[in-house]
Amino acid sequence: MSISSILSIAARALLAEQVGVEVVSHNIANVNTEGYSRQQVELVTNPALDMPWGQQGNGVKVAGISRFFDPYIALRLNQKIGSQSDYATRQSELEKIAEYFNETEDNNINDLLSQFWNSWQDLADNPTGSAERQSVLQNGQLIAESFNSRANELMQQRMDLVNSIRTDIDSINKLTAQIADLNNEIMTAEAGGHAANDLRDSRQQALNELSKLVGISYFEMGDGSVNVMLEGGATLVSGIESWTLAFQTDANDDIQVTWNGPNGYTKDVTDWVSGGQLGAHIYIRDDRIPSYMSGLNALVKDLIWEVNSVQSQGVGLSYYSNTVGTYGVSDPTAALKDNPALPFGDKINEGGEFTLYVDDSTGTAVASATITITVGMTLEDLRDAIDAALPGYVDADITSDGRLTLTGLNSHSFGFGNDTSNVVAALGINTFFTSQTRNSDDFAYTLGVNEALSADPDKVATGHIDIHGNHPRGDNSAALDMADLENQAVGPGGMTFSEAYQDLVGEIGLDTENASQQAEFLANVVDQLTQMRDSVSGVSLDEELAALIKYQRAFQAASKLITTADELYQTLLSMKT
Amino acid sequence: MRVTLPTMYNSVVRDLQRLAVEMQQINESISSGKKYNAIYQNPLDVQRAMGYQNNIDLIDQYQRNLQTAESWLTNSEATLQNIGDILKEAMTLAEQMATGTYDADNRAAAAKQVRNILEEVVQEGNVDINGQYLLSGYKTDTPPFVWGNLAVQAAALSQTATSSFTGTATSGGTYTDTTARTYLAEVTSGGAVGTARFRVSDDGGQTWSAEFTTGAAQAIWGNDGVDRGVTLAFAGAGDLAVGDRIVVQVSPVTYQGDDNTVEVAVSKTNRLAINSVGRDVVGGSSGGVDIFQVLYNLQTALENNDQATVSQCLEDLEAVNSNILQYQGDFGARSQRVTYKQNAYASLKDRLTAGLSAVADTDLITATTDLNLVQTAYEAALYSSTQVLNLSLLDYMS
Repeated sequence: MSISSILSIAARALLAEQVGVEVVSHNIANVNTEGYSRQQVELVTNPALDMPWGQQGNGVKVAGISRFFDPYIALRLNQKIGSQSDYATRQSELEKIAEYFNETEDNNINDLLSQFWNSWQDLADNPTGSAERQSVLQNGQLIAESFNSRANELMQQRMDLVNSIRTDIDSINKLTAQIADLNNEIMTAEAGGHAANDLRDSRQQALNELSKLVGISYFEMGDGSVNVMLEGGATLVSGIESWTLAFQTDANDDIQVTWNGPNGYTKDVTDWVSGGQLGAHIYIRDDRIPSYMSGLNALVKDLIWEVNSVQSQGVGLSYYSNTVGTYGVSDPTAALKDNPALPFGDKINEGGEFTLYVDDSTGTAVASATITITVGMTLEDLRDAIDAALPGYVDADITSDGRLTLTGLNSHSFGFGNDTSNVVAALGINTFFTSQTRNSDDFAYTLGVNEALSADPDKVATGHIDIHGNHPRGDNSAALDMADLENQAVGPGGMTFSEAYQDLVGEIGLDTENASQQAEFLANVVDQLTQMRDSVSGVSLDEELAALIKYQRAFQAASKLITTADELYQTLLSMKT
Repeated sequence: MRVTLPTMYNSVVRDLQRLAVEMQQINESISSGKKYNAIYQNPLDVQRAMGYQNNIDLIDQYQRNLQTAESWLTNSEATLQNIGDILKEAMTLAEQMATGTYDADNRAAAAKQVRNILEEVVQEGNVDINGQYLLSGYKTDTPPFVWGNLAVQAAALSQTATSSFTGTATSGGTYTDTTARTYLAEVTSGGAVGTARFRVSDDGGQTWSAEFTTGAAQAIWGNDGVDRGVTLAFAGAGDLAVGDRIVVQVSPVTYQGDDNTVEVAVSKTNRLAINSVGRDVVGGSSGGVDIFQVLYNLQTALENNDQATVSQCLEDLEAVNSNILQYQGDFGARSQRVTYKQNAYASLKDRLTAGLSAVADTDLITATTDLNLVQTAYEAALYSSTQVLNLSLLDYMS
């Protein structure tokens, strides 16, 4: 041992305390850096020297810089961040939908339905009133427009969600590439045996970001890299390699997520995608919106049918001089019943019949014919049956797009009644509402009021034609039947139309409320886990300042050692002179 | 547990945000007056509110319907009251003229009075509201009674449930007598036209003629077998059934309405008839108890100075009067039902409005109290945050 060893101990101490201050400054500098784990210099004693008097300490040395990190809490936090992001995304998307169906505002569909039925009551009170007729048509139009806009908004949101999903998948691919890069850097950096603290923090941060986008599971390998998989199974990152996701829409317009694996191998992993923003976007787009849409369509379909059935049985103030059906068949030689082109083909009742009543130009009943819908009757058969039954009175024809058209001949006009076959309403003749001409499920989107009625409000059915062909103007029986629909359990699920609509709105409201409750609950869980994480990894400024003083004082003391050693040397040297 | 700066900072931000959201919701509910402003704030209450709103709208509508009913019924009742008063005049006159103290001149003068009464009844019967005739059935655009000479009126066919006849029964001929009469034909054996047979009565079904066969126009007569020029023809498809009736009236007044009663909806399950068929109440062609025929016959009897027939007419007038009174009572009862319903709906609407208000309207007292609480909490959080976040070791380091 020598004085020089004091100097070397002091020099090592100075270095060690300086590293301590540097680590503290790194911690203070990163106090607000997200995902940063506080670090600490690890000081150990230098190996002791064997002296005749035994082992003598040889100062300090820096063993390394470690970070405070609890992988278990980090993993739990990662999972909960993913779930929270899932429900928060559901909530924000559902709140948009709920806004379209905001029944707490004025002029909502519920009110419009009430108004619509009430206007039929008003018409029943005064069946000859033209203002009442206009009001029925206007309310019908309002209902149609409201359902159109709801359906349109749902479809629009479905389309917009494709963009969100594209962004999600792009971000996922970027993040997985980034994680693979970080894996590479960490493995390289740690080859020397020292932990790559900051790189690991960055990687954990990237894993959390990825979790927000899609549900994942990950685990660390012996070489310091992490493997990342979709919750369902497909590997996204393995060591220094990453594989991308892509998507397209399938035949049902549903999102299909594919995994681009090694060697050009691809696989449909839609079922494996869950959680995170992507999971939420797909869930809203392909599960919730279609469900609301089909609820809406079922309601509108029943509304169209019930209203049209009553209208088609009735008569307004005047007969038709000509009319054309709104529903067409693609093949006029195919049976009408269950005709796939007719949205209400299943309602047609073979063996049933309907009656056509004919008035002359003075409004006197001159003829009538009852047409029976025989088994397997086609549109052409029906046309021929009408032509044969009322020659010189009514001419039936089929348009190029398969719709039935009827024309009164020689100034005759005609009306309908006693339809037990449902064929009149099913072909869209003498109907109130219209929808798409061919069978599909877009009832809410295409609901409209029959132009034959809006052009001539006198055609709105208020009464019925009696078996002698009389149709007095004061007859309000059909308007009363129509108004009765309000309280009849004829909507979807055996509910009234209002109840069915309220049910749908309730479903949307409850879904939104549930998502928001879940999101809030999970936000609390995430907060708690973040607190737990911060209690291990977070930087406390006061703690760092205390440590700063600690290292500063030690540094000062070590400096004192050097001056002391220097004095020792000087003492020795002065002995010589 | 270690508490770090981010922990404190995050929890301050989170708590302030939570309080801010709460404040915003309370503020919105106060300013809009509605408890909920989105369907997800309380889906069940929102759904209940929608149900309440539907029912309130419906009751508003029933109240409107009841107003229509009320105006129809009170007008009809007043009309019958007037007709009843006019009839009393006719009865007083008939009573006087049935005694032997009056001579032919008196009776001729009285006949003119009866003629005026007859025309007045026609006018009264043609009562309308805004151009809608109350006693015409569904044919509200047509005045129910039209005055004319004594003539064979159109046949009125009333079919039994089993009858499938879709054709018509047509009356015709030129009436050769001076007394108004009602011929009642009744099908006695069913079948198509040409097969079905019927008999005829001219005294309301007390006595009957021999059977006739349905077919082209043929003279018909009652039990006395006297041909007074009335004919009846059947044409058309379907089978007549036993019990189908055809009424052919010889009357100075034609009933132009039909046999339907106009109804309005007064509750989810009930409809209320707001008129009565004119020919049943007052008469006109094919009416059951026909004021016009009786008055016409009274006039003729007075002109002919026929004291015995005048007494007979007095009896008929009494029958007619009791018929009018019966319908008047019927209208009164229906008006009462309307009043009862109106009251019931008024109180039901109050209850529903209160129910709606309870689920949908902001309770201002609770809301302002809540707002105060949240405000205090927010201020306290701000205060304590600034206090805690300001503490630092730095303040004590030189």
